Amino acid sequence: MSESNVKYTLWTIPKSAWSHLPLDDEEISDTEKEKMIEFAKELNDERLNDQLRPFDTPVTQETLNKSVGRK
Amino acid sequence: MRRNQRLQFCEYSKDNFLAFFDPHTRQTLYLERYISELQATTILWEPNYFDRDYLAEFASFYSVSSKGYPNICERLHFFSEKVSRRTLTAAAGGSESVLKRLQRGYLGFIVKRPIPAAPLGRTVLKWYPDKFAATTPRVPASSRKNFVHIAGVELYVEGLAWQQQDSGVGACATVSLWSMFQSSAFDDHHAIPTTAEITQAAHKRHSFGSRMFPSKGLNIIQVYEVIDERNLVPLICEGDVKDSHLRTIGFSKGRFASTCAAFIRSGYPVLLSGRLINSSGEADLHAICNVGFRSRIPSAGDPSTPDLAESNIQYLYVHDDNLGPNVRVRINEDRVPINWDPTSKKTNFEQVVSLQPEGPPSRHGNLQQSSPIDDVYGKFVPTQLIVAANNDIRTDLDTLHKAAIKHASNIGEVLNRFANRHKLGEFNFVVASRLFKISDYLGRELQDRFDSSVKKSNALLSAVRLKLTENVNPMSLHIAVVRIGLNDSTILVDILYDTTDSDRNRPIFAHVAYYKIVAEVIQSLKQARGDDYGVCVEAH
Repeated sequence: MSESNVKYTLWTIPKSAWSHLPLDDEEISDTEKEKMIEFAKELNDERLNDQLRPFDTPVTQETLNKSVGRK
Repeated sequence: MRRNQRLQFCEYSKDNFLAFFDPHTRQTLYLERYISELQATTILWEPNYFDRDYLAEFASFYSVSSKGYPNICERLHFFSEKVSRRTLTAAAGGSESVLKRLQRGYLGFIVKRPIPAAPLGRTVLKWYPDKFAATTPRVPASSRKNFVHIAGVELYVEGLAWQQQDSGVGACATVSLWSMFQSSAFDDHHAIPTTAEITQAAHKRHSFGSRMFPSKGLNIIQVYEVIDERNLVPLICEGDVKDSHLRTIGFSKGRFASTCAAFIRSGYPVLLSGRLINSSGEADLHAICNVGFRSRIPSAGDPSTPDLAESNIQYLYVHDDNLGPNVRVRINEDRVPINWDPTSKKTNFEQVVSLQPEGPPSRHGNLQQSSPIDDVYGKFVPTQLIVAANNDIRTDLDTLHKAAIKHASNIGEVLNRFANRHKLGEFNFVVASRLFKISDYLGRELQDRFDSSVKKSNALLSAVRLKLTENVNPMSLHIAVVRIGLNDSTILVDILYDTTDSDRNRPIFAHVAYYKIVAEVIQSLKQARGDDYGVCVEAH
């Protein structure tokens, strides 16, 4: 897709501006479904560790005692 | 005793505005510029106004001061239409057309407290018109209609109230909390506390031996207590960039931007706690209230890793008691030293978010003066985000973002491998998450996604709404929605989470699949990995 045509966000895009997904035209046979399951089985969750790390930040005791602004 | 006085009308001009306030403070200069940009033409001055917040401050602090402060304020209203005594007389007499004209031109108000050091009380001003409302709009936190009554004439302005810090009864954290509690997300069951009530709630169980008034600031436990007192739940996000002693230095851009955006989209203003660094490099603790952001199209991304769609936003809007309401700040990234690596004998650096005021260019040719805040303020480095959420919400946004990344990544990878197999290339995926009231999701959100001018689309919308109501287990008042799409914002699927259960129970109610192939991919993930995506609601 051409990025220059992108105007909307995920929360403003009307259905009329959605892309056509060529994948959606394919009739999915049982063999294809089996292939998809195979792909799904091969997924390795560890590949996401780096991306998830910033969201694993516990609040420390030091933070709880911290002053919130004086200015 | 204050005597009765007539309402006064005068033309809006810089000199007339500054005649009401100390013309040398940053806040006054900022407000003057903001109101000028709204193209104000008239000031209506109420010389006598009893303000609920100031009366609480007066009762708690000023009434026993030997200075003999009065208990009454003044209030200034601003209009973009010419308003005279004749106009108000007609509206007060019931003229509908004049009332409509007054409302159309009403820009908001400022309460002027009789405290020379901090005269700017409750202030609500209209947002600027939004040129990009249909595509990449400014997203404000749920603001409420603030009604005013002048001689029986009812007008309103939408927004979250701001006020200058009055150190007698509150610090910057107090006024930031006060602004947070104005959100209409709490309208159903919650009254807005005054700043004095916030300070009292903070000291109720945790005074730490300090006196309540004058206020010297709050710590995070006290902020928790204040939120808890309102029967709301405090959610806190800690900065993810640490130094070698594991002390929090700040936030990485992606986490900060996507978290703020998700909270604001969910209707919750965000208290940003951190360090204010002035232009000489001196730092002090500070708190501001994030009240909105400018949305942005997703970045191009990479087929192997889905992007959080709003991790690239550039501007937030904040209420800062040192500056004013709705201040536009740019999200910058600063390179800061983290630790010394003795092996490589090099200092390691990380990028940390800082916020710097950056007003938009003047929309009017006659207002080319520079911003009153650009040179003096320095920058603000946030280290914690604190939100007051509705009590029934038990999911935090970090957990939701992690789930969003995992789902988008798994769905995306299977979809891309399938596309490759059919020689259809690869796609780049983006993902976003937010909280919704179930009625808002089923109502306006779905409505806006379907094209109501197409008959087939109406039938599909109806089918989706009914399936979500009849085929899915009863859903909670608030749901969390993970939306996965392509990087041109085409929506592939919404995954609907229960917010009232623990994260261990995999609380997904349903997924709304907008493409047949996506429903198939999710089915394959269920079969291969046992992942639970709830009931499939087909929307294609």
